[in-house]
Amino acid sequence: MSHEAVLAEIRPKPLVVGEVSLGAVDDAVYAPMESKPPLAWWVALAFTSALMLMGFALIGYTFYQGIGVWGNNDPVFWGWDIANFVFWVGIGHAGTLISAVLFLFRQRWRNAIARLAEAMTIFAVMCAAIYPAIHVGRPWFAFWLFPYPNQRGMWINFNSPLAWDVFAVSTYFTVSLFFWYVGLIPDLASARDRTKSKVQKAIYGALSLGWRGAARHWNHYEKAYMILAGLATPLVLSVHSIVSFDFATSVIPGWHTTIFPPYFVAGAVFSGFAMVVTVLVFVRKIMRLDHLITMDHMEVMNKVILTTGSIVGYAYGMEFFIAWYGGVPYEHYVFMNRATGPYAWAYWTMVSCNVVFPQLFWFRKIRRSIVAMFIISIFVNIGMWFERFVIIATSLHRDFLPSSWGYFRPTLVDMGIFAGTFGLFFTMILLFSRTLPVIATAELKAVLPGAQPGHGGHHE
Amino acid sequence: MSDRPFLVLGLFEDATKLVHAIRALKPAYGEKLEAYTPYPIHGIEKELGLPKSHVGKIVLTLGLSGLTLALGFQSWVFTTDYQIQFGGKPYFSWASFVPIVFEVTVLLACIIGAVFGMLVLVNKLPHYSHPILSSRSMPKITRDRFALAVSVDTAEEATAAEAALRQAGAPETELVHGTDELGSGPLLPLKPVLATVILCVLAGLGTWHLQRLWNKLPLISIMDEQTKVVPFRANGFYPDGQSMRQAVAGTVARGAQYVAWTSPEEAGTMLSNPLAADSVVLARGRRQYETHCLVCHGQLGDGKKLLSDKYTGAPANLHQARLKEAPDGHFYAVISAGKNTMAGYGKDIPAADRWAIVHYVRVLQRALDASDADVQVAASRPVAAVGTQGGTH
Repeated sequence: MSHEAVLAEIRPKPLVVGEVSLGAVDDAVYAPMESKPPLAWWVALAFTSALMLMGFALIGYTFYQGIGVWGNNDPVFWGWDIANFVFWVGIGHAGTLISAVLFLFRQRWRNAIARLAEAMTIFAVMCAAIYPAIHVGRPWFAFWLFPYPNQRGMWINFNSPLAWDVFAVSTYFTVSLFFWYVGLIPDLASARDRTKSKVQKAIYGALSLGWRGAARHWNHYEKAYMILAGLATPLVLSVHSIVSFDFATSVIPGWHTTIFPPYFVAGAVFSGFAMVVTVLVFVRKIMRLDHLITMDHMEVMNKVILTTGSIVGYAYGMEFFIAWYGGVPYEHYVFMNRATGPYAWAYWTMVSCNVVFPQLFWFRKIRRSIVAMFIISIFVNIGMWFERFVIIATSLHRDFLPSSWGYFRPTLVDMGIFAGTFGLFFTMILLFSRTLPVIATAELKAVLPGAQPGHGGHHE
Repeated sequence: MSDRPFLVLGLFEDATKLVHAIRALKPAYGEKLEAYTPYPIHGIEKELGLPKSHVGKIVLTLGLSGLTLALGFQSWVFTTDYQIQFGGKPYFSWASFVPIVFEVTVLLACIIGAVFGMLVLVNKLPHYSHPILSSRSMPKITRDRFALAVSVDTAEEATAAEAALRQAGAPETELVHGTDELGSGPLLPLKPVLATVILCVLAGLGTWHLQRLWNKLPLISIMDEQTKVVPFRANGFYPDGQSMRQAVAGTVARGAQYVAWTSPEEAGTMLSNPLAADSVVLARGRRQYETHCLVCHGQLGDGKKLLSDKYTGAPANLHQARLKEAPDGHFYAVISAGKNTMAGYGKDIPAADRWAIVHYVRVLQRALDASDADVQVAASRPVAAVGTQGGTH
């Protein structure tokens, strides 16, 4: 093999397909913002917003009647509401992981998908935040969750994981939102300078804060962005750890385990990446961005799904092992009951969706097949929802006192509200895809071949 | 906007050419150089001689403030202001403060430190009136051109700078007029921002007035109205429209006995005292008498009430001949069901205690009318045997 051939082999692959100029990136990414949406977009929006409105109407009905319209009842007081909360918070973990953790690891392929993943994080956390608020029973007092001086002379219990949760989720949402916004500023300036519409110019102009791309600004901007990434990394790990404390610090068999924090975080990344793949499959095709969001990107995402899916599978096994090895009869019973009891159907759905199907990603062909990855990502979404359901329902429906055993069944209102959050999520994605750049153009341009000063021109 | 020359821009096609131009112009212009680029260029800060960013120090300060604030606040609440024990842990259980300390540290460091500090404190944004924003070159800079800018004050300087940029290889140059003082030019999005502020104020005022209706809405009556039985309320569920129910005829309450008699006289013939009059029963009877009966019938049972004269009822003197002769069952029935203005005590005093009271009444009757023999017997015994120590029933 010649010297040149070896170099070609080890040189990092370009992050886009074919020759893409700086201007062409903008033309591709900003096109949807500068044209009228196609009919299909309106149809999709009508569907998702109808779903969303139905969810809001059912939440209104819940407020009117009380949470008795849900399936929650003695002994399963945490039902779909908390399962859905954990599910959506989990989905919200991919964005910050991609934008912060992969940024710190200098994984440049993240630049093409970071924006969309971050947006999904924000929308998913919005969906998640609905549930604790409506679950408190009197949602107009939800502000009691925050510590503020009040006439009752009371403070919240800072020793409670539920209070930690309030801080973790609200901090995570705020930081994700601003991290996203800081990344958007240079792109908003591009949008401001490109647009012909006066209204758009005013909006993008106001939001871009008068960004002008000065080297003195970039100097501080890059520093701040790196610090944000550095701080968001432990933050993203803390959020689902703290969510898992809601369970792990209780004494309910099946919840009281030390494996929960890492297991929840791995599961969150797993479900988040699956949702990103689900959405990207459509976005890159419909918005004609498949030369920027390449098959290589999708393959790397699928590798992450394979890895985290295996971690989740290991955690399932380890839970069972500890339940046996620990020798606590209640713990032992709960796990046997999971696999063979009345919720066995949910348990085995979870295991097959989360542990079995993602293993297909060991095959390169499947990792690079759009149809296969879409189907598997849907399986993972389903499986991860079932994981939260299994953890909550199986541990609660049979605890220490057999006389109070029961069986949880969701009502139509439960299902409608859950469908409504999907409506909210996809409505936000649809609106986002036509109003803001779905790819961080400033970041992507910076990693194109020849973008940085060098001798040969094609220097990384 | 003033017509003063402000900047000369030279536009380059790629980052390498920009860096070469910076090197060429740096000796002559030094601090007056600035680059405008669509994305950050590696190493350009060294070429321009920019100092290292001090955003990190701002973030560190804010992070430490958040840490101190959260730890101090939680400690103050639980050691000083709101001492409550949780799970047997000490008031200052620092380990469980850690999650919130961490979150608040990150929140302040990120939002106020990194975002606000970088954008507003360091980069002096928002700045909508910078002259370059309305230049011809700006759309090219945010797209794919790399501008090297030279600050100028006069037309001569501008001409010289333009020539220098051309010589450094810029195919295109532009002279920008104006000044970069904040607020000197038209604020670009003034009208939309104003409109947004006005809308927010109106929405806030509207919400403020609406929320006063909040509690009156039938939807959100803070659970005042619930579909359940409330005593003394009308209730459409039952035919008689009342919430409270009468007991079914013949119902015997838990712990009560079936009552066959209908009058004290009848009870006197039907019932006899099931308790033996020993010291424990008498002590119990005395205690119950003093609790329930004494206030009307008097310490000695002579009907001299302790109530004020405003109460015009006349409690019975238990020493009258009729009552001395009445059987125990008579007293029991009157205590249980009441008589005249006296209420029945059957619900308040257990049956055994009622019988104990009857024994004690007999003691009172005998004591007030004691024979010499009784006095001798009493004097030979310790009086303290009948005390207020409770017995069993």
